[in-house]
Amino acid sequence: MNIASDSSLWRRLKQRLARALLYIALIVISVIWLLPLISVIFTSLKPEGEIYATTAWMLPRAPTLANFVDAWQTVIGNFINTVLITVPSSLFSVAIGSLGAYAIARLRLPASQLIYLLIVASITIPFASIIPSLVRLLDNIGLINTIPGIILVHTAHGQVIVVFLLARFFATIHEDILDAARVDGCSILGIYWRIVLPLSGAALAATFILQFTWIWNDYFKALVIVPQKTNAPITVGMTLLAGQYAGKWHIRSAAAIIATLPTVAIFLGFQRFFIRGVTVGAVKG
Amino acid sequence: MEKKGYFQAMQDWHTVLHSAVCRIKRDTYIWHLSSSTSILVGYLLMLPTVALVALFWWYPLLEVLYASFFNWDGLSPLQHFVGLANYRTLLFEDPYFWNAVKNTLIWSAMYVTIPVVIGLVAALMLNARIGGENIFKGILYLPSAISFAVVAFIWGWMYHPAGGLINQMLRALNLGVLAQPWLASNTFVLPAINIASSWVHVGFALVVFLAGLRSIPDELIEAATIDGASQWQTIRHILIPLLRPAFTVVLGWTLMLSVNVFDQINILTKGGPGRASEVLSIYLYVKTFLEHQAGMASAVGIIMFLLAAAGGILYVRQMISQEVTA
Repeated sequence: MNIASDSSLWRRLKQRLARALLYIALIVISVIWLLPLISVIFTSLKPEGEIYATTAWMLPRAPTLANFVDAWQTVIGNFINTVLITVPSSLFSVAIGSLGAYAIARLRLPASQLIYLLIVASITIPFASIIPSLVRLLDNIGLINTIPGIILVHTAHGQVIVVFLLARFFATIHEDILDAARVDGCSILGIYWRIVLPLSGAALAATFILQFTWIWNDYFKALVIVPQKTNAPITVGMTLLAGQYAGKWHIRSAAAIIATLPTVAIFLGFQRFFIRGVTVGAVKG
Repeated sequence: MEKKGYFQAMQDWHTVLHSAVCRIKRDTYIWHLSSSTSILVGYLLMLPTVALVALFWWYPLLEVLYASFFNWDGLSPLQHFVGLANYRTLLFEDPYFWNAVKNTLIWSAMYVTIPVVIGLVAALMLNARIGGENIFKGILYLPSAISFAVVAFIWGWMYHPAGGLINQMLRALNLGVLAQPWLASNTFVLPAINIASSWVHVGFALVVFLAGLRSIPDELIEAATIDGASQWQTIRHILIPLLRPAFTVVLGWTLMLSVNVFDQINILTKGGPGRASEVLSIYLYVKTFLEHQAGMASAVGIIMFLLAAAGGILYVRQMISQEVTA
């Protein structure tokens, strides 16, 4: 065997080895990442007697869905609240934000750049730091402890991200299309309604889904604005279970899964829209 | 439209959000609005957005600044002006405030290292264009779709002294001596909750770093390899320096988030044991709702805003200056 082939063999072996090590490392990380989820899923399927008797990574011996029935009956009210809060909040924030984004991206208005910057920069304000004033404000307008109150706050706070994403997207719509419409006599609102919105279906859906997920998953705002069990969303409702179901980790695990499934499902269901809206904006620009 | 995986979409989304151009280019305007009617229509379109942001972000922030100079219970009108007394009390008389500052800084220090380092390493590994990339990326990104309220629950169970997976594993590996009541320990409570949060945050760091790596031209790396640079030298002297914009975005965003941290800590420990995990947001929440010292809480809020703005300026400046990478 000559030296040249020997060294190339050695190099190939080294490459193979490096690749194998890379895979092993990634698989180890992935398993570690999945363990918390596996532990909760297994726990949610175990009858009460098993949760301390078996280890958290062991499959249930007698799997049961009874925990999900129990959890569902307990959290259904809060689950409905979450839907009542999330759906209108995400709809309103996208509808209102799309108007603002259109004006910012497509109409030359004095100071519109400054306004845009001020809106986007609001992302740096910690929610905690405005709490004392926000509570007072909502109290003054009679919306503290009400679902309309939290819808209003989510809609307002959602503007920052909705305007940011949609203004970016609207700016990518080709000028010729808009010019043609303008020459044909379309008004400012007509162009928004007949050209910009229809062309942006996917971006609007993507932004909506994003808002939906964030609002669905919100805990802090709800805790401040609607902390009582009657109108709290499921994220807050789950923590209220802690007292009632102390130690009943199997039922609380089931509640946690119920609280999480919808966001995962909606992401997967709307995947197509989501991708289209996001990539069009990302590729151009 | 080509079909892409869900997690590809997530990455694309993050690319748009975190590395996109903030400023809209002038030449995208369709009208040089001349008539005053059309200018009016333009402002009317903007009005609801601006009114909402002004009423629920800017106004409360300004009012909190104003209220921080008052002795205020949060309910009655602002009457007892006390000047800088709230700040003085916080800075010079209240050890619990400094405890909260210390815990927030410890939290930030951990949050800008643990998930960022893991995310960077994972991105460098996935950048090798290996099969199954989307599956690995998906698994690491998956926790980002879960509410922190649920994440807190999941990790509360992981850390459970008896039934939790971590102590059970330690015992199974004959390392039972290392088992801890993690969340009830003064030493371990903050790192433990930080690891739970990092479990979520790694996905974000990963996708931003990966997008950054993918925007580096292959020729640069090839040239380095031809010049005899080792893999490590390529990473150290070419990839990492070129990832600067990605680092700015990740670190800026992470700093902002770390000042905001509330959900996980409030659910898992409410700042306990004692005050071992009490960060500024928890301190503010307690001051507002339990101690009814909203004036003092407002001063805390302003200090939090200044801390978050430090990270935020990095982040927003990067967004404004940078061209689209995807």
